[in-house]
Amino acid sequence: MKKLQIIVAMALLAAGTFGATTASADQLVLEGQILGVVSQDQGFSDLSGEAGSGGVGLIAGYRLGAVPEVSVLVSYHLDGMSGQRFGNQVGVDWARHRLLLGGEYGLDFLDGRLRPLARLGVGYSGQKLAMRVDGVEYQDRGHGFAVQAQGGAEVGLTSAQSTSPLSVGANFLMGYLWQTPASFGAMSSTSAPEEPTEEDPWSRATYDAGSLSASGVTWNLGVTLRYRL
Amino acid sequence: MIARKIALAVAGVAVAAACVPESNPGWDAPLEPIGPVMLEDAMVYLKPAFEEIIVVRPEIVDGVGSLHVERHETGQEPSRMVASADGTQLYVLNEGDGSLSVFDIATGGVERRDVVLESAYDRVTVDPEGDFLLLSHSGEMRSNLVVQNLNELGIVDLRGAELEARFLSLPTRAQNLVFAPPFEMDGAEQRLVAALAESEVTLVDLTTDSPIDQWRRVQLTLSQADSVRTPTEVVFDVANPNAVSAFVLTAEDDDVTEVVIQSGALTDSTRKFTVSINQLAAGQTPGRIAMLDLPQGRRLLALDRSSPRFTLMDVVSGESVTHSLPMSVAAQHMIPFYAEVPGEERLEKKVLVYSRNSQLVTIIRPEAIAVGGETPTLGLTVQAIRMSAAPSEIRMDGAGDATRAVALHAGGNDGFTILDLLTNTEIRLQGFSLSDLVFDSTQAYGIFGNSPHMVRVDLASGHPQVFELPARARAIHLSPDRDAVMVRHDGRGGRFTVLPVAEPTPENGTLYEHVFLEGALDRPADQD
Repeated sequence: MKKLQIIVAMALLAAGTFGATTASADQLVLEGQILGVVSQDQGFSDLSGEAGSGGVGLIAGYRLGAVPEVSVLVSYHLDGMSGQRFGNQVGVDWARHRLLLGGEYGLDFLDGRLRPLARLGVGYSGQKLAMRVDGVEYQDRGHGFAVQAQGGAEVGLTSAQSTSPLSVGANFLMGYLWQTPASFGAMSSTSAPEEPTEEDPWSRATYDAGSLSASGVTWNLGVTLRYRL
Repeated sequence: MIARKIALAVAGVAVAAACVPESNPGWDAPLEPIGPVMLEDAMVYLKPAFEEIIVVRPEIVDGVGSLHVERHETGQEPSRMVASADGTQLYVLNEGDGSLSVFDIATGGVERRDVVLESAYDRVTVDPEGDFLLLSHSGEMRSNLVVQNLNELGIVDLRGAELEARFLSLPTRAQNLVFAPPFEMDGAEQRLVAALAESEVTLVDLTTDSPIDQWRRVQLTLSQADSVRTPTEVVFDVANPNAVSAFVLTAEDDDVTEVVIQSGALTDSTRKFTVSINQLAAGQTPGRIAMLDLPQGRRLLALDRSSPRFTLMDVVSGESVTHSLPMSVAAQHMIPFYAEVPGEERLEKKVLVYSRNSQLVTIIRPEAIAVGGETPTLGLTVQAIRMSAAPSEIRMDGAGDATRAVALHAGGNDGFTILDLLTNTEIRLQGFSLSDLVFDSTQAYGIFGNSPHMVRVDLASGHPQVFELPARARAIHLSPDRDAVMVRHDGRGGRFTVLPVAEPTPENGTLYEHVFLEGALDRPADQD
């Protein structure tokens, strides 16, 4: 974690020293990405058998022409994992979605073809856990708060001097996702009716599977579309 | 999926930097734990991969069935668990750290005590009195075994607040261990154990501090050249304050060997006990023996294992008499019980004997059998009850009504039978066969292996009441307060239904599923 902070700080310092960004028109930003999270939580390692989850993300943003270093971003990320545990006797499905509001700071180099940047987002994280044994599935949802900080670089495939309003780029960022633990304290049956019926008169008890802290190191690989207004 | 694989590949550096914990190997082991072991107020399971026991207790909350689940850590690599005779303690052998954990599971609580053992024992013998625990070796080879002394016996004293263990090396490996009831000799309470081995029995004294009196070897053969005699059963007679007898049955002999133990002070011996041996005629090929305390004296009952006969022996005079059983095959099992005598204010000792291969169940009245020169008493000595099918098992309520027993039948649709041991009659209940049964005073609760139902049957009238269950059940348990009944269903995740005894209907019951996954994410990290 410390190494990452140092790397990002040095990158920004270099960018501040050598970067050059001039005022320009406003831009709409749209980015699609694949992402991964490597959790440091014991429970996550137990649940998945591995440490990571993978997924996709979508970011929409607005870059002010007057302050071209800064962009405002709204991002939605979806990641998850599936597996068989306990000697293939238990099926596990876990999914997380995050809605973050944040910003990006970056400097343009080489006519906008190289852009070192840093992002920070805060927002909501929701998790869903489902476990299946002998064909009977129980699931629960956990809710929490998330903060994500990343640093990296974007490579523009078109020059900033181009006359086309549309520019395409690719980026790679790494960072850390911190989120509050999700509690799966009311795992309930997905097949049983909410209330007992004549066909199924039995009340089913919920159970507490425990809590999961899926914070960890994140990375994403994205393709960015920028539309100059 | 592809994105996830790329994610994992690229994140190699991140993994190294992020110090990712390894997954607990318990999550790779099968989910279903070992067990259950039935205690007085709970079912207990053992999960070796997580080094824990799971205690499952039924209770009634606001008239509705509820399940209370607790997890408790054991020592390292627990391998087996055994319940105490009174159902209030659980003993767990921990192979990993060579220890024994004793869990005191009183109603509503669990306390654990540990003691270190000097050897990797794999057999536990429980003291019916609850004062001691014996640890021995089965002789089975294990993969992680380097070397061990198979003759070692571990003795754990459970009487104090702290567990104490001591270890003996016997002259031979104990294949079976049998506790003698407590008795008094030389003004002190004595506890003996018979360690059965090929061609010999070793008497182990649990209360002596003298090294030379810790064990006495009793040979069943004159020399090692004789054919091997395998002791199969031992019963003790401690009624005589001057002499204690151990009656040893072997697989090869027609006789029963009586080992008489007397105080060494009687003969000015330097040893605590003196030991002598008698041979008693026990009919032909005796298979099972039992000690009976009758008004006319102590008698030893022996069932013939190859023909439908039994022999009754006077242990004082050594005289015996053999009678036939009204069965076509040899009896395999016997259940001694006390029954009320009509018109008299006393209880009579009787013995129920049966075979899994015969529809006839026999009730023996030993009091009515004359041995030697005794005057015979009036009444039938042997009576039979014919059932519709052979019993797979016969159960009696040891604490309650001793005039009735329930016979379970192995076939899926052979129903079950209530035996009236007072009138020697049977009540046949047609339908599915019971897979498990518990008694509650004048009633019994049973579950069916082939039908998702529970039955409550009045033992006197035989009237059954059938109640619905959410699925077929494997085991049934009644709470100590007799207010809750819990059934375990098939399924690896742990499925239980808890119902109130007063009104065991679906409206008042609760189905618990995935019980073995409760708290799964909160287990501590693997320390290895």
